[in-house]
Amino acid sequence: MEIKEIRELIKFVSQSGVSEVELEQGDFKLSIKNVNSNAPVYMQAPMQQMQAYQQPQVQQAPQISAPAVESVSAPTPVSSEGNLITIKSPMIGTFYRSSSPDKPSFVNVGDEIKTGKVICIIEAMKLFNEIESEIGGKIVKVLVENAQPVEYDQPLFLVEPN
Amino acid sequence: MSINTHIIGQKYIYIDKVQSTNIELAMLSNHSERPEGLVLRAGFQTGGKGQFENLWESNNNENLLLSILLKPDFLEIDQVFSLNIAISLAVKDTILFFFPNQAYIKWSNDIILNDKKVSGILIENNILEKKISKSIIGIGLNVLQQEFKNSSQATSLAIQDNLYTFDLELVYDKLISCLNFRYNELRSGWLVKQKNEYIQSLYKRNLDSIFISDQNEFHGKIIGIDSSGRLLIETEHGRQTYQNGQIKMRY
Repeated sequence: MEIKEIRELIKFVSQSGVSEVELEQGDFKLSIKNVNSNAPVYMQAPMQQMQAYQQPQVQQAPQISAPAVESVSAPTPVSSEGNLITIKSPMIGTFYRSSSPDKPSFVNVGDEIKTGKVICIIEAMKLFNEIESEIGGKIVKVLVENAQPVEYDQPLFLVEPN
Repeated sequence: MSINTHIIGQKYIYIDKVQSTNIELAMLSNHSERPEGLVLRAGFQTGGKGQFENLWESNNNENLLLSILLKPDFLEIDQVFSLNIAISLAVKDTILFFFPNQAYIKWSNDIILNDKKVSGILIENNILEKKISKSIIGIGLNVLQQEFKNSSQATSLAIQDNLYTFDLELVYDKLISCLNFRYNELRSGWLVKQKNEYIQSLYKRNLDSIFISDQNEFHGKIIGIDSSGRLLIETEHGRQTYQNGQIKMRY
């Protein structure tokens, strides 16, 4: 990238009001931060009716930190059978064990999994939902065949908790 | 008025070549905490993802290829289809800006311009404890490409109007502004309004069409969707409900 192009890009970023731009071309990487503009106001007539939102930056994704014991007692799609725990489907859809037919399964029987590990995909109306485990432990049994429809709360996996 | 109505596109990453913008953004956001609204745009995808094994075909720097990171944790898990509604409406709005009255949503999330597919959407959510912790919204919008070798059903804005010179950046700006508008509506809880608009925008709605399900062909009319996004079709045997994958429409 030419210096002149970079200068134009900086000018563009400062005028557009975008707060951060990263650029990658092969090995070349460039990052521009717009510290002056604290996110601009784009006036759009229909938006004026809307309420103010919370700072989106403050809204962090829920962190996976809850210990396994808490998850079990919480009203979550997990139920205990003896010392085994059943992971249930949070939604209606089609159950997939891998992200595509040529990829390995997310989990297999015998695997040790941690909280937050992706265990399957449930596809519903072309939305692909990666389901993360709410508990840590060892996969004892997979209860549904790949590409089968599943119902809400249908048992998917048996897990021996840590 | 809040300054934060413009969440999408505030942070922007451009990479000239990636395997797929969805895969790249998933890796980036798994690796470190990234802000909601982050846009990752690519000039070219070596393995653009359609649904599962389907590929998305696009020439270098002729089309919009991007993925957006959203954290719609305000939605309940049974409202997940409303995310698809908001994004589909935003892309349709973008096309309508250039082609008034000519864009439709083909259930569940293809955007149709003059009976051909001009845009595809691929939404990948992460679900933890019945909440959408993260959503990666992949959008491919064909703008300048003149020829699609592998798909007779694909089109671009330029193919549909060869007298107008489309500016890729202008289309990008329009798309981002439409996405912000629809995402703000969704955050404000206008789910019913958006669902009604989505139904109004459905391709072939209320028109006699031929459908294929379980290798059987039958006639029917699309009349809407139910609360979980399933397609409602009026047939000679009454009203039928279909999930994705169960049914195909001939067009």
